[in-house]
Amino acid sequence: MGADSIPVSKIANLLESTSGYEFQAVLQSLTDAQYVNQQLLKSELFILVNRVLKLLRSGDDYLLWKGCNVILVLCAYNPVILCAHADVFLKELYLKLEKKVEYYSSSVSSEQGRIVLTNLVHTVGYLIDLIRGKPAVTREVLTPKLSAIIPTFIKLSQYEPRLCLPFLKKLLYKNTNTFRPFVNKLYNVLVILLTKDYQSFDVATKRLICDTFAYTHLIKLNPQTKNSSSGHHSVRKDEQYRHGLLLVLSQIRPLITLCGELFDFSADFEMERLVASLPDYQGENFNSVGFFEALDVDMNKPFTLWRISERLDVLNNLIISFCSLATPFAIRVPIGGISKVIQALLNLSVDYLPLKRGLRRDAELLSVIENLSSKMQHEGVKLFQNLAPIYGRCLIPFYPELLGSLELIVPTRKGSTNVDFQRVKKIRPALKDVFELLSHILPAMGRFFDDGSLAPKLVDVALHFTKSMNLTLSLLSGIDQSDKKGGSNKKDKKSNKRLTGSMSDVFSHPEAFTIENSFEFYAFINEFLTTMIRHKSIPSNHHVKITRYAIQNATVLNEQLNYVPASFRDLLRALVLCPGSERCSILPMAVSLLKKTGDELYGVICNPRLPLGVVHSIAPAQLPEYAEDQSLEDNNASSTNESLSLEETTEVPATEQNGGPDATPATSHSQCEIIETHVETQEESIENELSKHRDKIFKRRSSDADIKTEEVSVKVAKVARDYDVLEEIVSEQIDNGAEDTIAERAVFVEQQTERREADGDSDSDFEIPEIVLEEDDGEDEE
Amino acid sequence: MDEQLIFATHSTCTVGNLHSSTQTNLKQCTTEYDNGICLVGNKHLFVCQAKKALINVYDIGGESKRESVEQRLPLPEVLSCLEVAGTYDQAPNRSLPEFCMPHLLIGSTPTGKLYVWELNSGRLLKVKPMAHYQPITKIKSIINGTYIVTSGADARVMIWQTIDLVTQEDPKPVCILHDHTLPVTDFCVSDAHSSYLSGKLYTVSQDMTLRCYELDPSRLKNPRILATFTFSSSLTCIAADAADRACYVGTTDGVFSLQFFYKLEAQKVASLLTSAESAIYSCVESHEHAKKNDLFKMNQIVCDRLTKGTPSALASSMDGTLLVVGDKTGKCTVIDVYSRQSVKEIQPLVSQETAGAVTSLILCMPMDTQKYTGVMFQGKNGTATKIPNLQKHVSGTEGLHDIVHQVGEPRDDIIPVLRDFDGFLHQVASQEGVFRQLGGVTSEVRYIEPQMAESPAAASTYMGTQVTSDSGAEVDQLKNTVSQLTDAYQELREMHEKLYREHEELLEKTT
Repeated sequence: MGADSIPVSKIANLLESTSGYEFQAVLQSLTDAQYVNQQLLKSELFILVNRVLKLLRSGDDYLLWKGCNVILVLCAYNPVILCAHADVFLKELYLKLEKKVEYYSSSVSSEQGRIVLTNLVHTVGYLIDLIRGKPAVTREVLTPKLSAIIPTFIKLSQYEPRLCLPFLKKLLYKNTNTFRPFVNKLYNVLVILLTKDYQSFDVATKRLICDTFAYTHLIKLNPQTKNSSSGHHSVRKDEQYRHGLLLVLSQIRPLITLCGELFDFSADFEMERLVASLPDYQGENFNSVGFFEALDVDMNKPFTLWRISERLDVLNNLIISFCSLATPFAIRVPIGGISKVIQALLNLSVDYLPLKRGLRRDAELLSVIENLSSKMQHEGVKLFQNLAPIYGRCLIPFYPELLGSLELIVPTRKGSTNVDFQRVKKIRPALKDVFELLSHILPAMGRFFDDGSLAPKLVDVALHFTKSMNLTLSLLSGIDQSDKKGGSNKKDKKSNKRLTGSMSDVFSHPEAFTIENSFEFYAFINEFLTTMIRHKSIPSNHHVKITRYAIQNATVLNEQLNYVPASFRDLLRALVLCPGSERCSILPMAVSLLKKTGDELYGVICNPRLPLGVVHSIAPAQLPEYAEDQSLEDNNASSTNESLSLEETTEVPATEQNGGPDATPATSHSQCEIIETHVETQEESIENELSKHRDKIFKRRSSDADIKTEEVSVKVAKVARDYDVLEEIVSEQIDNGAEDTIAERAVFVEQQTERREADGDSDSDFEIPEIVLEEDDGEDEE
Repeated sequence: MDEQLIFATHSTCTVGNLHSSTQTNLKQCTTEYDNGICLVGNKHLFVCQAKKALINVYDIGGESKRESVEQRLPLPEVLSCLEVAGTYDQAPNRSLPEFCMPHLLIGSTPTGKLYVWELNSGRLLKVKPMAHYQPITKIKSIINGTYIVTSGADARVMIWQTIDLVTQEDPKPVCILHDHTLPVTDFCVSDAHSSYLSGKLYTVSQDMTLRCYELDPSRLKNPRILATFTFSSSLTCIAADAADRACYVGTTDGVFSLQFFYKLEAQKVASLLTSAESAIYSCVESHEHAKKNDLFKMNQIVCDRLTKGTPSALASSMDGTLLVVGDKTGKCTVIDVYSRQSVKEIQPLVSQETAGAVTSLILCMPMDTQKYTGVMFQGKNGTATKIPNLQKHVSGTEGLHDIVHQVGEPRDDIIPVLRDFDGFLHQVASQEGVFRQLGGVTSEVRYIEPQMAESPAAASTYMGTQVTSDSGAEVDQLKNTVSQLTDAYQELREMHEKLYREHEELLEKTT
């Protein structure tokens, strides 16, 4: 062990008594790589492990909690301990966990008890993760113990799904065979969670329940019910998984058919056809067993209609889980069926589908139906939105129908195609999902795809959402209308006064009831608008609206915050680069807005310049011919040579920048622009000399040598030799009295190198001679 | 990292490396037309077989690569060119799964027909007859498969929107370029583009011209031609530098390098593609006495000849320093573009004298084989999913429309203590706070051993600080209370029973 690390025995002694910052420091020190030492295993590490086991075996919750944390750190950072002692750790932890689960109610009666239970589950789960993938430990430790751990986890998952399901999900995926005997038990637990308590869980737990439910279909449920006649048929690996997916998918059809009792599908032939084409698994002679009970819906109790959307929410989440989870094999996904389901859900619009004849037309029922319709449309959007990142391109053949249906979600005024902004507010979350969805799928569609009037409508809605929302607006307009009527008697006025007396703030300070949009929301809308500008041809007036919105808001925010938020910067960039059919550019305004912070894009647009080494440095025509069977080593030499020539061209952009007002944008020139550069010709002559002598320098090597392994060393050797030869050339030429600028250059290079060495750069293995161009430029001019 | 070089001749297909000497000859592989091979994902190679309505699939990446045919995909008719469009939809934070197919496979026939298949299902989505009036010479998908460019022997180049090809009954190209007068032999699109349609398109033709177009979405219906370069012989192939600094043009007289940032005398550089009006330049071979400035005034450009011979395919390396030239004799020569020296030659491993001309040439980054050397992966090799067979009849979007798909595993599947130790310590601190703050008021059930229960002193020792010394007295007091209450209850019960009996007697008397 190194001198710097704390002796393990000291840490072992500290473990029981330590707490607070000291305990954290102990945990930190246990991550030291110096403890990963097999020599310590039988002496000091053995003591440490025993102390940790003592913590685990003590009946005190606090000590048990400490033990769990120490085990986690030890096993995560010390492979020696993991391989040698994971067995005993896992055994002790499991015993403790089993006891806690057995007396669950008393275990979680206190906050400390809950923390200990959480820690025990986490430690066991993470220990399994750490062991998994190590073949010997997996075989000897993990597999035998899993058959005991899995039932305990399943039992606990009834009460603590959030805690246990992540580990069960992983076990199902990674230890599928070991899980096989317990899958039915887990399935039953999950069915109860799905059918009874589902809506009382948070989103993450809901997702976990659905994910784990989907993964139970990696294993064949009820294997004893095997059809003997089909035994000789080869079964695809994904058969069971697909069975589960189709089962869930087919349960949506009855829900939409039930909506046929509210809406008159016969009024729309397309809708009728769509409902008929929805996946029906029973129609394919499969033995389907639905686990959901029949829905109890009563028209006389309109609120029971919400059970339809509640059921749909569960089914949708299950479909998303089935389709978005990683699987050990490729699966067959009925993408056409899913697309039909999305379309059917999106088509349930009160704007386009009339209500069923004979339906009681009271306000309660009508409002519930309208609410139900928007909820079901939102479910359709959610399904589309979740599948688009995974199956985006596979959905392309269905885009025309899907986008056509998506347009129905935007509420319109009766008898016109104009957006009804009053109703738009009610479905704000759904439209937010639509924006996110379109931001994702628009780039893959192409600029010239005709999606009807969807894009302009959504741009209008997005811009409407960017306005602040005043909650008192409807109240004030109601008062105005009642004032206009003017026929109110004294009693009404008195009651109004009473009302206004208690609600004076509403009228005197309406701005206090205004909800401002958050920056996150602006970013969200801006992302959608940026995608629209970049990837879609939108009408000119909408383009102008977006431009006005971007500039106005960027200006206001710039004044308020002293900077322009990133989402507005992106939108301005998109507007500059894609001006649409506008003749004038907003470039000056964008530059003015961003002049404080600057922007690389505008820097390049306004001051066009070539990046480093953009001009190919081709050797002059008098370059000597090389032997055709030049070995691979020579390629390296050429790349070294290239690096030199690239250095030479570095002056190009700098020179252009120095051009000042004369350096006008290249695009504005009427004829091919001739750009002044200071590329050194003398550099090329040096290079020529170098290349002339290269055949002396480079030794041939076997052509089958792998360049990857030798690349670095070869480069080092080449550069060093290049430099030596350069010196030789210089000395020869000077001795011969040949007046040549190359000599001067070489001497200069040598001086430069010497100076650099004197500066203390001699630590590096080699130095590429730096070639400074400025002095020679002066000489040339002279 | 080494680059993988794949090239097909009329009778062979070779997979080699640009720098190292590894070389594999794929078996049973013959091609007839140019651009008849394509890389699907980074693992499979599809090769259109000569004179057969068949695509041979080879596994050339990863641990399971083989020389023999992996799968054969029958076709409705013989195909000439192949291309895939649209990459695999990679879900966020997921690794690539074993089975990951691009979206579409596009093939053309010698009659100018265009076939579009969905690779995940094998469905034939579209057949576009007479897409070109004569054979299609090359198909290329651009902007991540959003657009498809095709060139034909009918002297036209067309740009299609992929979604139109898939969804419309009779798809029409978004743009047709018909400036060439003889068959367009090859084209290339600059890699330097935005996420939307942009960049440059270079086309070469037998009419001895190279034309450069600007791809601009606002002007795509009527694209602007930036420059036209005329040569002294017909052009066969083209490859562009990755950064659009130059392009390499294959002619019947050899390969020429055309610099778009053209060096003139007196340290001047001209940018050839930034003129407002379309310019026409005549390209002449460089020689010692060439006066570049004078020639440039006459719109003549001096081009360096990189190699002689008749090239049939060209490809530029990732760093732009090497050019691979496939020629009519069936060999590939790697040329350093700066020094113009030949670095190496790769020839197919065949017994015949010549393997025929190089018909297709692909330079790509090979699959990283290192990550597939683990024990766990080897077990999965045998379970590779087959590519669905390509259908021969057009099918719509009716029915369930099954696609074969696999989602990759999450990438950040690391336990918290390893991923973020500081975060773990914060969690430890917050949990410890619960123990320390509520330490005095914990309530828990203890099971005391019988002998301990008998001796109050032992029990108090076992229970530690929570059991006080006067617990014995408290127990006695409680026992007394219980006995008092029991006595009182018994008295009450006796009284109740007595009264009940009296009540029953009274009832009997009254009846």
